[in-house]
Amino acid sequence: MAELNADHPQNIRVTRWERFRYAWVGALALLSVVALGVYYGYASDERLPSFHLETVEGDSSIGSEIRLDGSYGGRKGNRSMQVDAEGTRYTDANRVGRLFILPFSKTYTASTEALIKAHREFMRGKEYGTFEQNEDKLIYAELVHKEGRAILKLSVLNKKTEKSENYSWQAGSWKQREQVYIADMQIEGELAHLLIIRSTATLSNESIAPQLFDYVFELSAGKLVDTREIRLPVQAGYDVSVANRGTNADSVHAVIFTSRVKGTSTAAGGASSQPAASTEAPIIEYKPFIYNYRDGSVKSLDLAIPDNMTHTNYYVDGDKLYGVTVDGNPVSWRGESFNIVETDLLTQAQTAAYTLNASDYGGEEILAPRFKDGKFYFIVSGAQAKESIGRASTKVVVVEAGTGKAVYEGQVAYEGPSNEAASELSQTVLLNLELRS
Amino acid sequence: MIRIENAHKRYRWRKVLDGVTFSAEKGQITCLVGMNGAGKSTLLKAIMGLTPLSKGTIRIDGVGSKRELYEKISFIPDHAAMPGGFRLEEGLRFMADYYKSWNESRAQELMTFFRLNPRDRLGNLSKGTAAKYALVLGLAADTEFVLMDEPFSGIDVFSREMIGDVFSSRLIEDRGVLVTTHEIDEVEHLLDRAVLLKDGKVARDIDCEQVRDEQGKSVLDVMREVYRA
Amino acid sequence: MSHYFKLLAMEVRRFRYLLAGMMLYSLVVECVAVAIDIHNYANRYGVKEGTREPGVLPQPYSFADVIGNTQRGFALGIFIPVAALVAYVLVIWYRDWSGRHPFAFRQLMIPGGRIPLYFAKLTAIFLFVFSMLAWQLVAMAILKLEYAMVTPEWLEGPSRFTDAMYASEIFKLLLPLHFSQFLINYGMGFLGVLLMFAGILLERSYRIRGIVLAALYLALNITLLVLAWMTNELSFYPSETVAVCLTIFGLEVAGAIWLSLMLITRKISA
Repeated sequence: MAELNADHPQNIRVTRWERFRYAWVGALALLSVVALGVYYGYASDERLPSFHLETVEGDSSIGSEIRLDGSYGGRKGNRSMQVDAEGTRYTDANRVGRLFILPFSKTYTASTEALIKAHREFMRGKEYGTFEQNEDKLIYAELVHKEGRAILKLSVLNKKTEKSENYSWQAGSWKQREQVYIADMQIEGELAHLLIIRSTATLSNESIAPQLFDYVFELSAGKLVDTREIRLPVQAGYDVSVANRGTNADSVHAVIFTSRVKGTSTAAGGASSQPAASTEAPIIEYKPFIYNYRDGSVKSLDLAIPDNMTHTNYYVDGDKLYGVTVDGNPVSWRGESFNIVETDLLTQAQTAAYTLNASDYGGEEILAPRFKDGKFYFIVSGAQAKESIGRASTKVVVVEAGTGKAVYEGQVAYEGPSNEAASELSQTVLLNLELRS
Repeated sequence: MIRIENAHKRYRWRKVLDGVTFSAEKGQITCLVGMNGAGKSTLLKAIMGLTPLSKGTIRIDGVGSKRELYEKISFIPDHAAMPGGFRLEEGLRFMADYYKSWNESRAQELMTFFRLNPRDRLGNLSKGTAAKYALVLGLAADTEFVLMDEPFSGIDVFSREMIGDVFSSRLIEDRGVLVTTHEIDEVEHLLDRAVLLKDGKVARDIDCEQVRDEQGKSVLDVMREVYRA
Repeated sequence: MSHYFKLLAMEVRRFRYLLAGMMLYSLVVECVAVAIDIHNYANRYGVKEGTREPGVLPQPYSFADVIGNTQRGFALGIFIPVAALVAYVLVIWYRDWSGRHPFAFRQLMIPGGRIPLYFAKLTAIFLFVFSMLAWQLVAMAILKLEYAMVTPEWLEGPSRFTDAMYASEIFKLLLPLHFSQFLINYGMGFLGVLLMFAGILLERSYRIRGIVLAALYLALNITLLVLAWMTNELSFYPSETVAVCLTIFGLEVAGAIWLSLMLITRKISA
């Protein structure tokens, strides 16, 4: 057997092998880094356009409260966006993570967002109820269904100390066929009023009169001081709705509309009879009432209401009631004009009436009416912006509710070279107006 | 020295090792003897950290398991432990890449001695040839200890002779060898010590030459005593 | 450290032909899908002059439109490589235990420990995944060229690159336009691979019991993630839910790596 020589130190040979062993690793790493780097560093940016709401006339602080929601169509598929005085936010980016889609898909209304920003801890988990606030207090009320009972939960936040208290009490029953909801909430000095409506779904033509209650709660003492049942002097067999409240100002009135299909009535046994089936749409009769939170009195309101009231919304502001009627599509609340009528609730006299035309503001359609603090906010679409003929844009107008005089006009402006502005603006569809606070 | 103390191992409800204690010295060839399934391979793998012990300690030169120990001990399993698609020279390159103690020139000499073609692919080799290659991989490094698991199993007679020659060469001289085999007769004349395992314990731990001189018995005789009893 | 790079290079080299094959396959399938789609569309509007109604101009058919209409072709071209990569997460370990000469013995005896081995296999998988992604981006560029060559002039229309990527349902998942989405998708994938590795090492350490343990371990991790996600139902703001999810994710990643390293250094049985 050949002599085996041991003990030579390892020879280090730099062969071709050494130089090429890392070839594949290096190539793949380079390919990945370069391609993905270019993609995410540059190529994947959609370069979506920016817009903002700029003030054309009037008080720009009004403009800062407005948020427009809609979408931009200049890419394959629409991109939802929100535009306000500061700029544009594309909300699809928030739909991050198919696996985590829920946490990000909570889109708050502008007013809820503003409240969360101001009182983060208090707002935690309060998504389903009603808010009301004055200078010192923010209150939140929610109706919860528990074992056939309706539980009213009230949270009161002292805005100065940021301390909150929680209360709850039973607000009657909540049986299977019943619908119980908070129709209105009002702070009157140290008292909070919660207007609860309980209506029973009618199956076999049995219509039971809805029940209305005013729960009076003293905020500083932290207890329920009165439960008033509101009886409306109307024959049984009606539905009930409450006018919107669009203001923070102290107001002691709630306007309640009772409605019934014309021609129906209830016999003594409680079953209502229907008129013979007809091919025409049923006509609905309305009877409005004013309820006074301070003294609990119910007064009939003498008001001329158009048939079916589908084209009209009512708003209560202090001692005034505003009715807004759209001349156009009531489902999407857009049309050529809004007719506005102001009624004084104390005298029950009509104190103002005027029409807002889209054409008055240079646009094609008027839509999305909102009411706050004695002002009406609305969108005028297809408006020719001032000082720039041929550029269609979305406009926001704010008028004093009592007079119809404009106190603010804003338009959506494109941030970028002016030669692109017309086409980019034409791709935007902003149909929803939201107000912060 | 490799010292194993109180090794226990359970494998699928069976107690394979039940308190095994012995040592293997440098410069000696120690053989682990036992029937099939006696735990011989398991002990070798345990020393190499290729299988955990339930209880017990293993110390190499007084030190417990440490990463650098692989530079000190070679393990030659009953197969070549390289991808079948590798050429033999790629396997050698692998060893050179990772072992500081790799001796390239000795590897070349062993390849020549065993008449192995570096361009062959491992997957194409016969069992005997692959076993020889495994020896190259295990012996070419400058390690202090060599563990061999069944180096002769399934090998033809002539290859066995070659492997036997390696045992008695300078290659093994200063190292400590721990070998398991069934072919006791092939290596009996080479052994310094024999550790006989039975029922998971060390039945006998003998110095071969001493037993031969004093009692006139061969290792095979001792085995008969232990296993036929 | 150098052992890590050497092992990584070896793992990559062992897979190189398969990877190249997958890339080629993907490109060919996508090219064919695009070509077929353009021809079908053009035929619908009369490729040959004269069969088209005079005066009727068809809508321009942009590259983004083509991508939007070849969903199935792309799915075919991408699904098989994806399946192969997922399978390779298992194979990258088990191939070393198979055959007449299990290579695992050798790998586990490398001086310098087994930790570089674990990370080499992990990194290799990610390198393969990201190279396939990068290759898809290159393929899109090639397909754009093909589009320019194949589409008749009167049918061509402009489109943005981002629109083309957005048009593909597959790319919305694999190459989302927003980097944060990419991180979330591949973060979850990363965790998935880590869990699979831990499961494999559990099986290699404890055999059948290991499989059971692996299943339980996987169930535990999934449950924790779901619970974290469900804090959304409690009074958590979205940003807080995300923070909880990220924390749980981080803990699971750390846990899986720690478990794997512990198993491979101490418990594994070759």
